[in-house]
Amino acid sequence: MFHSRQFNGENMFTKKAQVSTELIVAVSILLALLIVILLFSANMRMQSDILKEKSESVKICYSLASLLSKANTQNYSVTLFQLDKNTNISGNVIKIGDNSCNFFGSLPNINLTEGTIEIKNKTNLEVKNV
Amino acid sequence: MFKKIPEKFEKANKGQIVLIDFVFALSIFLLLFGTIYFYYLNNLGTFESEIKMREMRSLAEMSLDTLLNSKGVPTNWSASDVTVIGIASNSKIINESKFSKMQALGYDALKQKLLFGKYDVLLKFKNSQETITLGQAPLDTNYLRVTLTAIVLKKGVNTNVEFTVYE
Repeated sequence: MFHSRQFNGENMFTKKAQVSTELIVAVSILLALLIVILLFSANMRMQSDILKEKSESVKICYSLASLLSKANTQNYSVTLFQLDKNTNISGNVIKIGDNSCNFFGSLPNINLTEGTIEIKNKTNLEVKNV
Repeated sequence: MFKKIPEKFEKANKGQIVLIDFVFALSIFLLLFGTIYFYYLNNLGTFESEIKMREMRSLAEMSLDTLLNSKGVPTNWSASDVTVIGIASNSKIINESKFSKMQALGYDALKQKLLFGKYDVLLKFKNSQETITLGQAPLDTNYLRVTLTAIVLKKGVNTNVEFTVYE
């Protein structure tokens, strides 16, 4: 009439405390998926940030390169430029962060900080923060 | 009164139902996640190409401007000492002597001096009297390309300049 398991108090207590294998598998898979999603998400954000940074640097780099090239080859006497990032110029290479571009001309090693810069070509090409 | 289901079958059936539901949900999730990630990667590739194109266009604009509006560096440059190629006697008026010197430069030197050796180049001067082509024409597989045009005076004749930069 009664199943022997139902009245075995010790056994019933032990069963209640147990968790099913399916639940453990499901939770493990969900946790693994969560980790994968977090990793993918971090990777996506990193790639997106790198590209955004590159896009901005390329824009600034070529704007500056164009002005320096004009100043060097077409004798622009003085011009001002608003620099949005710290920049290094050495030889004909403009370096902004990890990105670089070239211009037509050459300058000694110069570190420019963000802000207004002045580009002069009265006798020689010169660039400095103002 | 109650028909007793054998314990091992009951457990097994319950487990199967949960597992089938779970596998179904997981498949839908993975499918959606995969689709979103695929589109994301695709967009990332497009964004990278756009940056590249912007870079090529900026360099092409700077190069064409220097070529057609400056005398070059040094001003009386020759093939052996040229650092910057400029073929103008005045803005957008071509100096024939410098034009000939530019024609005499080899492709590698032209590519190096105009685009710092970064990309390939095709330069076309076309007017009612002549068509002069310098550089190499792109192939159909060179998808990344930028073409700029300008009008200059060459031997007193309006001349269309087509400047193609490609990778």
